[in-house]
Amino acid sequence: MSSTAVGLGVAALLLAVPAVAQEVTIPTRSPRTGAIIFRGGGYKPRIDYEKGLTDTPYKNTFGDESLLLVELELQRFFYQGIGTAGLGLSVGYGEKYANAVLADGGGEAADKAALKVLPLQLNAFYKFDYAAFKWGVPLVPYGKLGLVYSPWWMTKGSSTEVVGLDTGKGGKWGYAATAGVSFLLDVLEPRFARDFDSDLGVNHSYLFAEYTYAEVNNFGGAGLNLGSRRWMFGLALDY
Amino acid sequence: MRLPLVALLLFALPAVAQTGTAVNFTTTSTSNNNTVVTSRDECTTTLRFSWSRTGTLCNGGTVYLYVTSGSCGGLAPVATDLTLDTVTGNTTTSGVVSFSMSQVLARQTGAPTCATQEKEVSFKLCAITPTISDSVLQTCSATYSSIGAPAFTLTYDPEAPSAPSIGKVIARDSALSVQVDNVEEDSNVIIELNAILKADAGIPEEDAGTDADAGTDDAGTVADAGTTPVGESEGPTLRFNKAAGEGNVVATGLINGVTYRIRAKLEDEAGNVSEASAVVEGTPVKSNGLFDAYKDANGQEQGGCASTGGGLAGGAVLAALGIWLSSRRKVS
Repeated sequence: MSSTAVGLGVAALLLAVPAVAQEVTIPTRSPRTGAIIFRGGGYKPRIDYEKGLTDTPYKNTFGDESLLLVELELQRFFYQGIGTAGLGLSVGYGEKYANAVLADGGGEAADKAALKVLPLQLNAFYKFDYAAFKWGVPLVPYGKLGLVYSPWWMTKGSSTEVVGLDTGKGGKWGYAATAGVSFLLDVLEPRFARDFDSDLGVNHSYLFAEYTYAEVNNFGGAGLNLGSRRWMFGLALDY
Repeated sequence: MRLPLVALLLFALPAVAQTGTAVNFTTTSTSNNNTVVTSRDECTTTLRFSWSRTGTLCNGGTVYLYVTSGSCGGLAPVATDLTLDTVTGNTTTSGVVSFSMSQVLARQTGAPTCATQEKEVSFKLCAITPTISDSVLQTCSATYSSIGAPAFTLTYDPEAPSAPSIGKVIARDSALSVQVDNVEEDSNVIIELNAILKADAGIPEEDAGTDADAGTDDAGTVADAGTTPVGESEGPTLRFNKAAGEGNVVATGLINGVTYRIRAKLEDEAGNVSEASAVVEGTPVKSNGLFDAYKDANGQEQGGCASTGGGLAGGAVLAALGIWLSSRRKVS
C-alpha cells in the first residue's frame, strides 16, 4: 500500500515538473478588457451649412482652416470572439483663434475671436481583430456609432461674445459614425509587445486612421451646426 | 547607576526649556513677506503687533520688545531704538504693542520727522532676552539673544515712484488696452480715463464713461460723437489698475466711438502715488467675432443657459457611464 502511494506521489511530481517549466518558459497574455485611445486631427465645423444663413461666418472669420481637435477615448470590451465589440466614451477639445474684424469693414481688429468646442461622445464599436490574432494580419478594420454632445463657446477678447440677448455659448446634440483601420504595431517588435504586456498590461498597440461623419445640430434643429466630416489619426492601446 | 541618570535628566530640563523660549509676532497691518511698508501719508498711523511668548526665562530675566535700525540681540536696546515693552519674569506671556513710524523716526539720529525723512529707511521689530549663563542656577548673562519670530521688517517709504509713460494704446471692442512703460517693480499701475464730451455730440453727460451694454450690438451708437465740436469737457474719471509685470492694463466697459483721455500713474507698495504720465487719447472700436458674424448672417442659434443646462445633464449622464465603464471589474 505504502509503495503504491509513493509510486503515485513520484508520478504526480514528474507530471507536475513540465507544467512548472511551461509556466516559466512560455509568456502568458494578460486579460484584455478595454482600450485607451489618443487621437488628433483637423475639425472644421459645418457652421456655414446651416439652413437660412445669408453668409459664411466661419469662413469669413477663420478662412478655410480647421480647429485642431484632440480626443481621449476609453473603451470597454463586452464581446471578444470573432472580433471585439464594446462601448467607448470620449472627450475632446478643440479651439481656433483669428483676429476679429472691424465692424466698419476696415480690416482686422486687435481683439482675437475664438471658437472652442468640447465634444463628448458615447459610442458602440466593433473591430474585426480576429484575423490579426488568428492569422497575423496586422490590419484591423473597425466601425463606431455614437451619441455626441458638444459644448461650445465663442469668445472675443477675453470674454464670451454677446449679441443682443444671445450669448455665444451652449451645447449641441448629435450623432457620429466612424470607420477606420488600425495597424497592429505588435508585428514590428513582437518581443517588445510581450514585454509591454507583462510589464504594463498593454496587450496590443495600434496606429490608426479613421474617418468620421458627424451631424451635431440637435438632430436637425435650428441653430449652430457643429457637424463635420473629418479624418483623425492616433494611437490605441488594448489593456 | 539609574539615580545619576535621573538627576542628569532633571538638571537638563531647564536648559531645554530655555532653548525653546520664543516670542511670536502677529499683526493686522498689511505685510508682504513679513515687511510692513508705510508711506508718508500713513507715517503717524498706529501699527499694532500682538505678541505671545512660549518657554521660560532665566531667573529675573526680561524680554525687551523694541524697534531698531540695527540688528536684534547682542546688547539691550539703545537710545536710538524705540522700546515698545519690557516684560520681566514668567508671569506675562502675551500682549500688544502699538507705535507709529513717526515715533520710530523720532528716535533716530537727528530726530527726522515724517516730512523731513526723504529717503526710504528700514527697521527691525525685535524681541530679546538674556541668555542663560548657568544652566543649573538659571542665572542671566549680560548678553541678549533674539527670540522674536517671524522677523518683521518695518519700512518707511516716503518716495513716490517717478511718473510712467504710455507706450501704446490698442483700441478694442468696448475697451482700450494700455501699455504703460517705465514701471517700477512691485508697484501697481493705474490708468485713469475721461471721456471727451462734445457739447453737441449727443452723449448725455450723466451717461458718459461706461457703457452698460458694452460688447453688444448697440455699443458704439455714438460713433459720430464730436463730429462738429463746439465745446469740450471731460466725463467722470474711470480707474483701472493692474500689478506691474502683468501686461497691459485693459479698460473695459467703454463706449465704442467715444474718445477717451488716458493718464497712467504708479502706486508703490507703500501707497505712494506718482505724478501722472503725459495724456494720450484712444477710441474703442466695434469689432465682429464669429458669433457677431454668425448672427449678422441670420444665424438662429441663441446659445445661453438653456442648452448649457441640457448639456450639463447630458454631460453628467456621459460621465456616469464613463465611470461605470472604467470601474467594471477586469474579466480574466
